[in-house]
Amino acid sequence: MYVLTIWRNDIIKGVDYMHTFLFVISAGCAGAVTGLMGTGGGSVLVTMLMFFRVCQNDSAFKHSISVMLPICITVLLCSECNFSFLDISIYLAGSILGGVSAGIWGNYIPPQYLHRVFGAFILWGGVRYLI
Amino acid sequence: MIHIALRLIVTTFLGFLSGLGVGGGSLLFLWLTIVEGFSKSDAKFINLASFLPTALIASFFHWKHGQLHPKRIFFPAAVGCIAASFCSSYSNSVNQDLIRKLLGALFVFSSIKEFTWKDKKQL
Repeated sequence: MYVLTIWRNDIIKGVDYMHTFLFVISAGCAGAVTGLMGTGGGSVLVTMLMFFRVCQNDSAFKHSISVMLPICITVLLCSECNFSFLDISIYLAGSILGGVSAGIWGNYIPPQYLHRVFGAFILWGGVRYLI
Repeated sequence: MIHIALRLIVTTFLGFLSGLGVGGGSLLFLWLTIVEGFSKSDAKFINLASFLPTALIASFFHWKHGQLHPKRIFFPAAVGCIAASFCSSYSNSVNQDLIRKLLGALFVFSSIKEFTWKDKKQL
């Protein structure tokens, strides 16, 4: 029984290590895409996390945002800035309002709707990239 | 004035989508290049800059609701940053058409999976 318990724990640990490894690979790909193109990294990350089943259901969306945050800061630091804070303030204001709305009401949106909306966006993006 | 109000409405909606993690950034990039007429490099900068507050606020709420585990994202985020800094320095010398085609194929394939997704317990 003791051996079986150890064996079971090793399997669980193995799954965790594999998930961490796949998460790291996914984040690396998202970072590479964001660095090269400046967009699309989040979609790549969510897609890979779901494909590899690294995250449960809608937690892939939530984890992707937090992983993309330092990646975006890194790319911004490597980019040339042609704008003043005032120039982009309207975009920042909208983004703050959007972030607060998503934080407050995002949890009330069922995961299946998130998947459908995400599917529609990436289908549109994918067709646009292919043509 | 109407233009500013429209910008605010659009960016709020796209910020909401970004906060949910469903492709708001890609749409903002398209809005900036197609509708507002920014160059790709300028649109890239505005897009990334406007993602920061959204991501920060949304991450805070997710963490507060216990849906985010900082320890879990630390190592992937670090690797993502290294890849991003390396690739952004080579962004002008890489064949971007090839990357776009590969991404397009990945997105179309994934969208089929998303449309056929059913709620079930995963690992």
